[in-house]
Amino acid sequence: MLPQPDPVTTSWTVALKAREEIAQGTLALRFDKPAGFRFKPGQAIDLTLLNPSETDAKGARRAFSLVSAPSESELTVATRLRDSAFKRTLTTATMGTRFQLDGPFGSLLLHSTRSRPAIFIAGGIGITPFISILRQATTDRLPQNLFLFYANRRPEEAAFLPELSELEKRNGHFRLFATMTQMHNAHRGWTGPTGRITWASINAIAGQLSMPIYYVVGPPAMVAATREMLNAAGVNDDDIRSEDFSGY
Amino acid sequence: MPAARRSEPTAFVLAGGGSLGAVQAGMLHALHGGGIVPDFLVGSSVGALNAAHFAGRPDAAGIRALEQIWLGLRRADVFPFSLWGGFLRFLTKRSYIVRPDALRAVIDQALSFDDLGDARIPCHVTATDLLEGTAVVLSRGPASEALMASAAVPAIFPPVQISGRLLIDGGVASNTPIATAVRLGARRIIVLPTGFSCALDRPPRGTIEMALHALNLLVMRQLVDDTERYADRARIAVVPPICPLAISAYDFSRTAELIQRAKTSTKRWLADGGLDKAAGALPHNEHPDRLTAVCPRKAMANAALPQDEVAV
Repeated sequence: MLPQPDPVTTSWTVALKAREEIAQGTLALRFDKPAGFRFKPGQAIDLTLLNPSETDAKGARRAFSLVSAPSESELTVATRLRDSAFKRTLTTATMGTRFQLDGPFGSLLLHSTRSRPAIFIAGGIGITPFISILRQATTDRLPQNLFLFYANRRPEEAAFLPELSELEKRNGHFRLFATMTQMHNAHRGWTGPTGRITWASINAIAGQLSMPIYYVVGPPAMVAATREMLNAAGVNDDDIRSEDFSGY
Repeated sequence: MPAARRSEPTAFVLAGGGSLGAVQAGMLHALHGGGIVPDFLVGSSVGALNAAHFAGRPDAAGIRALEQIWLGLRRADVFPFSLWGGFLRFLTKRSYIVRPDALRAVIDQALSFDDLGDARIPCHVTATDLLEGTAVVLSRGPASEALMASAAVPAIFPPVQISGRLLIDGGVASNTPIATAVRLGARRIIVLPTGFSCALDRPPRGTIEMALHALNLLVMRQLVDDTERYADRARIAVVPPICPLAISAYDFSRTAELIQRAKTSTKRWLADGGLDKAAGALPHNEHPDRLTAVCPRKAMANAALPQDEVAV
């Protein structure tokens, strides 16, 4: 009996099962996971509207990081609402609306050398692949130290914060550092750190660690700036992983 | 098609072996992102598999699918090796130790066309004539057979018979895919090397790992030589291989890391004008405290070594 390779990227049809506003301007969409669909934490899918009620130049296809862990029976994606036909359709689509799912894809996977800690750096909705990785790591009781630096403009826009605090309590290997960059026009209170993620704040943790690997996900400009910051601090490109598709 | 491309046919050359072939998926990702499109591809060994996949689906979705193939591969998907099976083959004096049907399944799954001539971008696969040692270029005919032949690492996989000739891994041939690309009319050649495991913390272990490592050393050195040899026939740019590299060509558990690192370094190389730099100007990354002193980038810098020093 030959071992069967994991499934390659392929197409499936899924129906919208639930929709929830998980933060201001941020929707989570849930689908039943098609039988046979397998992925690794940190991977992404493309969703294409099969019968769009409206279309525009940006098209009916978008890439989304999966928020859900492979151990879950549902697939969840989360997205910031923007002004496009696709996103407008998402906010109004009735339950059961059908999408073509293509995937999985993406190589932003947690490294397998457990002795090397991971430092995740997320800007806004760039948090999504890290939620999948952290959920699975916590479920699996992974003996690997994981640190998350998570920047949002305002607390009301920060998705998954309560869950991340909960994961921190359940997973002794995980620590969360959340910061808000625009508290001056926030509508919700915040007692944690403010301002951008700086090398000083990262190094307060990384300085204690042996050969951490950095993972950066966020808007392209944030990813580029973070890379520059890490390079300037002497972190080699080989130890920085990032994903440049903009599924947010 | 832009006039510049017509006057300067561009070839991607992909060579190298084992799990390190994953870096070529990352390199293709970055080159495609940079808008660099080849007029044809030449591939050898595992590079032929990547080349054929890209030739069939030369777009972003195709490259993502290729990455996914690499991420899904486990060692046993390619080398379903058991001691007992190996021993039996030894007893029966077979000339190989790994049964090839698993590799064929991987190849068949990866191919989007049956005949090499049906690729969307012309794709040429090189293999080695087992008896003559010469390079054989396969440009049409059953793609699956061609890829099996090109990846038939001697003593690991059986030779493949095509048109009455016994063919083995393209990396063993006396001439490289660069020579083939030049002969096929390329005036600009972009080489996507897998590099080799220059920074292992232990020597390669076991028959398969040793064979893959040695073959990668051979292939890399040949590419370095031909980069020099054909410098006046074509503009040859070599995408920098990952260095230092502490992952063995027999380790399929770290392909995500290989893809990520190759993608990042290739993007940076493009941004730094790497396409227009001579291959010899590549920097060498120091990695002290390791077994070996030579790594791909250093080998590139030493490209002008006399031939007899290169001969094995």
